[in-house]
Amino acid sequence: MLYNNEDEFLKILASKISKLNPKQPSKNDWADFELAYRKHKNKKWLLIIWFGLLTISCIFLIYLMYYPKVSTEKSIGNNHVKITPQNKATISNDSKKMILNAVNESQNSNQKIIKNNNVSESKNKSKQNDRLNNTLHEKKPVNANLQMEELDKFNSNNQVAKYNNSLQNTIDSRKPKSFLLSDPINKNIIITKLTVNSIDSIKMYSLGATTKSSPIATYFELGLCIQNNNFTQLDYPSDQFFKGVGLNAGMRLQNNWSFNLGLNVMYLNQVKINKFSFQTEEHQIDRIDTTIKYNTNYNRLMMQFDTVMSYKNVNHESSSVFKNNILFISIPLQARYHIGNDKHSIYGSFGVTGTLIYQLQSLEKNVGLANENSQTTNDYTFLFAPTIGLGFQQIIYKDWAFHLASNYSNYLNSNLNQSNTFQFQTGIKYNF
Amino acid sequence: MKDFTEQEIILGCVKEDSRFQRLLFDKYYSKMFAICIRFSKNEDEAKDILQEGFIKAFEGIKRFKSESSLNTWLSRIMVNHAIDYLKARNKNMFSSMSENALLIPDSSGLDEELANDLSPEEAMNLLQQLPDGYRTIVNLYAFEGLSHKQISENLGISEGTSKSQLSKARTFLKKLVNNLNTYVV
Repeated sequence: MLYNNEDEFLKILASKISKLNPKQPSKNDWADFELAYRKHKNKKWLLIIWFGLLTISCIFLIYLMYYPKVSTEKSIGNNHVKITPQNKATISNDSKKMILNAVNESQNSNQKIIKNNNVSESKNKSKQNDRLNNTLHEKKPVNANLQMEELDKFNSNNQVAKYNNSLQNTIDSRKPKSFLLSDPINKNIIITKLTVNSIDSIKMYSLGATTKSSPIATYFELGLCIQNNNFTQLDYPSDQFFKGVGLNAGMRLQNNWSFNLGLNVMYLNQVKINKFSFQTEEHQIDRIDTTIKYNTNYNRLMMQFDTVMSYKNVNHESSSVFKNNILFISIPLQARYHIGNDKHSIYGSFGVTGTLIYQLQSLEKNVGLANENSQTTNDYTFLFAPTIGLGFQQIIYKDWAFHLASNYSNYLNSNLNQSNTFQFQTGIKYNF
Repeated sequence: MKDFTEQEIILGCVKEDSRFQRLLFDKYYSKMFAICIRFSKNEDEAKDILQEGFIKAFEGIKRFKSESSLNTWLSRIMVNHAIDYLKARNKNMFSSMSENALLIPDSSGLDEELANDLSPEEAMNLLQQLPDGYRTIVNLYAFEGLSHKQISENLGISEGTSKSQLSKARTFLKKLVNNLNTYVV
């Protein structure tokens, strides 16, 4: 025994204590230690798993927020339809028909124009000569740019703007539309066909979690959750689901009641591309051969004009990208009543849910080949709603349990409209 | 069961073999419990400190190098963990000591020989009645043989504080001893 000699009192005390009979270990001591050691190891692994999941979730959410990928991209133009295998499944039969109609119309239109050209050149030469005379009289070159400006103006002022204003307009715009923008006879630039079609490309990324509880004392739940809303103001397809990560923590009382506080973070990412492509065909007069002949049979002097024309196809594209990112954060505070035992129980719950909805919408327009204005809007919405739910939990291995829950919330927004949220959660639970 | 050498037990614990862990646990239980009970207020608290100390030891045994004996290494873990345990329970353990000391009347002049009449159990009981901060400093000074400088470094307090706190702890103990003998008489 070590002690300082200078302090006699403490020396005596230390000496006395050192004479105490040492306590010998019992079987229970080892059993208690083994149990504590096992729980410590489990806690360590749980922490590692939890932080791992949290890290992965954060990385994934950041990825979704900053790198939204466009799932489909289609171009419909003159005789040109491109559908990639990735997005093929998302195209409905109606859309396919529309695409085919657009192609057929485009082909028919081209054939008519070719036919018209042949007729003009072979049978109606006199009329053509008149027109050529008029053209020569104007002494102006063919001005393609002027026509493009008209087209762009038309596109930006009318059609594209309508497409981009709302989702509903976009849906309507799925119908192929054709425009004959100029008279192929009177002007030398022939806009053969403008086909407009849009195909929605909606891709949703999701990651979710729910929180869980333990049967006795405090508990912690971690899981996945998926949710469907009918918030009209959120402006997203109703068949899309929010998915996210959630955490719950709570306290189970000695009776059948438990109190639960949760945090659910869910996300929906939507990218919509409206792409229009069309083709113009330019007819250009390269030269006019003039032949003067003297017909001896009739003693007439005759003059003949032959024209040499070239054709040029010009492709045009117009597109808009609509991005809709919605972050849905809900904090439920619930009381649960359990029926069952420690191994498996069913519970009903009621409480309130506070919700923050953040919506970031951006619209980028690219009309013609030039970038046009982009619009970005931010919306924050705070809501409270009563929530009821049903849940189930089953011990599957030692302290681990499987957890299943569903929650229904009824929101009343500022416009006095009711919105409903149905949330489904599942995950793994650990009892500390 | 076959007798294993200390080195074999250590290797077994490194491999997390529960048989060797139990051998080590049983072998050093008494000595380590004696340390833990001195730092704690009662037996339950001592068991908690002991369990957590052994968990730390099993997790850190890979880093054990035979520069010191296993007994010394384990004792150091137990002492350090006991200090951490008490600090976690009472974060103002040392700052609140001076206030407690003010409540103790000056006991100078009390007969120190009264301590000789104490039984080992009574002596332990008195030690456990000390506030956490006093008990920690008495343990480090009188039982672990640390100097005031080493105590100040271990606990993160000044050397002067260590001296004054030990003096107050001593006064506290003498008062307790005196009271005990008064009741006996």
